[in-house]
Amino acid sequence: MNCEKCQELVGELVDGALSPEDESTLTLHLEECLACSEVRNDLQSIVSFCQSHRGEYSAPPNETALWLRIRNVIETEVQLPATALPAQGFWSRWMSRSWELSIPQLAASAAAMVLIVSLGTTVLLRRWDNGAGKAPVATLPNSDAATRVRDRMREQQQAMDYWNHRVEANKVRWNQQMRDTFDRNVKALDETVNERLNELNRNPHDEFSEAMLNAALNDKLAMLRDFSDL
Amino acid sequence: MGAFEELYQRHNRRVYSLCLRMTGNVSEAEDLAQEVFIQLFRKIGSFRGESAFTTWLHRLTVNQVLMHFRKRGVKMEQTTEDGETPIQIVKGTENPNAMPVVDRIALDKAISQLPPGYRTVFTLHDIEGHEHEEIARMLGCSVGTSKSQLHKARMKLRGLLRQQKVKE
Repeated sequence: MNCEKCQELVGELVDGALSPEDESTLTLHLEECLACSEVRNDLQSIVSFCQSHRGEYSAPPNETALWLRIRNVIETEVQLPATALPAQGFWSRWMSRSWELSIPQLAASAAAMVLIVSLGTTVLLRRWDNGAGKAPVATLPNSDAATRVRDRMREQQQAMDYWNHRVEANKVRWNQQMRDTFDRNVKALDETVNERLNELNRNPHDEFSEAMLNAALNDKLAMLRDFSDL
Repeated sequence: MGAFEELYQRHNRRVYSLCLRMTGNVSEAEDLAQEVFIQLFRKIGSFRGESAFTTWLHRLTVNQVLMHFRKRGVKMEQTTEDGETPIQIVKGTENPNAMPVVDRIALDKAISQLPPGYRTVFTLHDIEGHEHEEIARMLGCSVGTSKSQLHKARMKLRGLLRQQKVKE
């Protein structure tokens, strides 16, 4: 047996997986060849070490933080089945992604979100004023429309209270710039919510305001979720 | 949620360690461990008790890591492809340095330097104790490929451990 063949088989020898004939041939070679017997000894050390340390596990760098990340995602799925349902594919993909944003990136994203909401509001309001986006005549009776909005608000408010609580717990770790960014965005979204609510109080049939209110509430919820991870 | 937290406390190290050994990267391992527990939460209803829970969770973890490799386009080394680095046959006078006594830190470092395919087979066979038949089923390869990958992984590890000693 030459060294090449021996070193091909030496792993199986260590595992005890060779036939008796191969084993005796190999053993003969190993008795004569120092290099191959060194390979056998080294592989034996590696395999023995692995076997004797089987069942020893290392902890993640921060077990608690990892658990909180997992709980965040799970609770989002459990708590918001109704809101998650229409956009499940998008949101589940979105939330399961691993986001590693720097503060400037985060601030830019938040600013972009506010800008999009504001632009959308402006454009739609203009179209509305020009008559282009005239709402269809409401088919629902007053009470149904109002109940729908109230239900939606109540459902969203529960979720927001939950995420707000998480954000408040994390806020102490934020620097001033981050707190300012968060407060500015919350303020902008709250203003939109209040404007649309006032509009709906005046005219409960206003489906445009209802849609804008829903969009602003969704944006706020998404923002709270993002900030609760930081 | 309390019961699930209990499951997490009991198994997170096992899951994380397996992810870490298969990927060789701390942050990837953390993300994968997170994804495993989320999948566990979603799929726990489908656990029928036909195998031990740890076996089921282990399979879930391995699948998650393999899926991650596929998404990332990680090439699992094949024995039949051309251009593969051949194993160097060690001659008596080539390297006078004996391999250092194996310890956890040195071994983990060397494992993280293995190519992903070698690392996966080595982790599953030598660290986790799977048979080649199981590994072949998990990876969708032949038993021969699994054996060959393991042999190459061990030889490569040996070289890496020796190199570590030379650098010290």
